[in-house]
Amino acid sequence: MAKFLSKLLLISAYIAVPFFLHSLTADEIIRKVDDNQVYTTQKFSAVMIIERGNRTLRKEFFGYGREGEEAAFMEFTNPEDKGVKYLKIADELWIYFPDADDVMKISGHMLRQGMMGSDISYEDLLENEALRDSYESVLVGETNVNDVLCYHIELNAKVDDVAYERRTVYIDKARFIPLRIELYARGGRLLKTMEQSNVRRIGNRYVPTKIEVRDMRRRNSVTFIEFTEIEYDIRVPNEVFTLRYLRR
Amino acid sequence: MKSIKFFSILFLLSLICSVSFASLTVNGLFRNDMIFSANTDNDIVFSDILETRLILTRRASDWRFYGDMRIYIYHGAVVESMVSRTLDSAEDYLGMPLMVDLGEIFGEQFDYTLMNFNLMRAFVRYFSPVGDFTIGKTYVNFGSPGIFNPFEMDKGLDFSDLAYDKEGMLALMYEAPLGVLSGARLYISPKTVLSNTAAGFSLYGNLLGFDFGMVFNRKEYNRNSVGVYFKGDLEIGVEGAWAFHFDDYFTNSNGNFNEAKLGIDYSFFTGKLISALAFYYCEAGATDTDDYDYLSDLDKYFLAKYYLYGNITFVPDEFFSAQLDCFVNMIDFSAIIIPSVNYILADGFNVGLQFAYIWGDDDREFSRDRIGEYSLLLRFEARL
Repeated sequence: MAKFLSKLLLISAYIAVPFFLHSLTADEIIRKVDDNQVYTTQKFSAVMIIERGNRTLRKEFFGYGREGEEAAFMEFTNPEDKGVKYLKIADELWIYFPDADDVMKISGHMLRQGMMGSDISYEDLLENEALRDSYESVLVGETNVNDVLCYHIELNAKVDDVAYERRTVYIDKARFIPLRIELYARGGRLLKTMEQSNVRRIGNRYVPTKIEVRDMRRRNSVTFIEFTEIEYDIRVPNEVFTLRYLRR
Repeated sequence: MKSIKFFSILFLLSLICSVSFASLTVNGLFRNDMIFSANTDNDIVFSDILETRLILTRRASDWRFYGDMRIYIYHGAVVESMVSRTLDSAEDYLGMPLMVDLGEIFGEQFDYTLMNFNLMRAFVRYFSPVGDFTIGKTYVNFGSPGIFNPFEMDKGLDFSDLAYDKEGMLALMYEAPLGVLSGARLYISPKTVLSNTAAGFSLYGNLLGFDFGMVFNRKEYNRNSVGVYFKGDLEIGVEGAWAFHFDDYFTNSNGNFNEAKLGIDYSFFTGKLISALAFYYCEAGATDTDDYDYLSDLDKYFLAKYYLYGNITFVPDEFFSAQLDCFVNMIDFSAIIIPSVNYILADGFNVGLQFAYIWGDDDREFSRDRIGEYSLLLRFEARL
C-alpha cells in the first residue's frame, strides 16, 4: 500500500511539475491584462447612471481615446448636459461649456473629483496607462469572483504620480479581464471598488461593457457605466484631440 | 440705432429659419427667481424674474448652428429699478426695442411687469481644413474665463449667477489651428459707424502644463487692450492676466491704465471642497471713496483700485452643493457676501437658495445705504 502511494505521489509530481513550470507569473498576467485593455484608438458611447439611495441621475456620452500622449475626448448628449465636452491630454483637462461657447482649463487637483458628481473620477475614466508601468505586482493566489475563477493580484505603486497607492485585482483566468478591483489610498484605506461584467469579445480582445463603481467614502452611492458601443483601433482624426475641436 | 438692432435680429431670425429646414435639436430651460430684498428704507420688497430659454442646435459634418433665445418676464420691485414710470415706455428708458410693458397691454393686474426678448446667440460655425469660421451673433471670449478677466468683452457681473452667460455680438470670427493646444483667433464686429467697429486677435498655446496667450483687442468706442494671460498648476491651480488699456491715439491719459488679476485655487477631500482666491488690480480705480466714478465708461470692473474675490464650494454628493462667494473692495473694505445652496430634485430640475449680504455703509462701494441691506433669492430651474 505504501509502495502504491509513493508511486502515485511520484506520478502526480511528474504531472504537476510541468504544470507549475508553465503557470504564469504576476507580471505575465498583468501584461496580458494590459495587452487586452490598452488600445491604440478607441471610440465609445455610454450611459452613466448615478444612484444615491433611491434616487438616480442619468448621463449619456460618447467619446474617443488615443494611446501615446494619452488623449481622450468626451461629449455629453443627455439634455441637462448636452454639448458639454472634455478633452484630456496627459494630466491636463479642458472643459467646453456650450452656453458660454468657451473652454476652461481644469486645475490638476480637480481630476480626482467625481465626474459629473459620480463615483468615477476624471482620472478613473480617462486613464489608459499600462498597469505594469506604474505598479509592482504580486500573485497572491486564486479565488472565485461571481463564480469565475480569478487570479488574485496585489499591485503596489512604484511611481509617485498614481491615483491609487495600492490595487487589489481579481482577474478572470480565462480571459484576463479584471472582474473586481479594489483601490486603496496611501494609508491603506479602501477608497473604491469596481466590478466589471457583461464581457464581450470585440475583435481579438475581451471587453467588460458594464462597470459598477462604489466610492467607499460615500454612503448608499453607486455609479454604473454601460458601454452601448465600443470600437478599438479604428481611425480617429487627429483634430479630435485638439482644443479647437471642443468648440465644434 | 433701434432699426439697426431690429434688422439685425430679423437677419438672425431668417438665418435660423434658413437652417431650420434641417433637423434641429431643441432644448430649453425655465428659471424662476423669487427675490426678497431689503431696500435702502429697510422695507422688504419682492421681485420675480422668469426666464425661458430656447436652445436650437444643428450639427453636420462640417458646420454647426447654435441659437439661444431668451424671454424674460420681470415683475415687482426689479421693474421699478429698471424703468422710471414717468417715462413714456420701457423702450425709451432701456433702448430695448423688444421690451414690452405688460401693464400697458393687459391692464392693472400686470402693473410692474415687463417682458423682454433677447437673442443671446445665433451663429453658424463652419469647419474647414484651414480653420473654423463663425458668423452671426456670438460672444467673443479672449483670455482665461472666470472672475476678473481683464479681456472680458462685457465686464458686467450678475451677482445672482456669477457664471451667467454674456450676450453675444454680431461678428465674424476665424480660428486657425497652430497645433494640438495652440491656435490663433481673430474677429471683427462691424458697425455702421466705422470707427465703432471692434476687432481683435489672440494667440494661445500650452507649455509645461500651462495655458497661456496674448491678446490684442480693439473694442468699439475707441477702447483698446493688449496683454497676456496664463493658467496652470503648481500643485495648486494658478492663473494670472495683465492687460494695458488705451485709446486709439493715447490721447486720453485717464483712459490709459493697467489691469491685472492673480488667482489661486485648490481642492480638498478629492474635489469635494474647492477653494479659490483672486486678487484684482486696476490702475484706473479710485483710492478714495470720494473719487468713485459711478458713470465711468472705462473698460474695468467696479470702482476701486484693489479687490479680493474668494470662493469656497462644498460638493458632498451629486445632488447637493453649497458655496460662498465674497467680493471685497480693498480700498474701503466694503464687501458683498453671497452664500448659496443648490439641490437637484430630479434629473434636470434644481432648486437653489441664495443670500446676498452687503457689508458696508455710507459712501462705500458696497453700501447698505445705497444698495439695501440684503436679498434672498429662491431659484427653480428646469432643463428640458
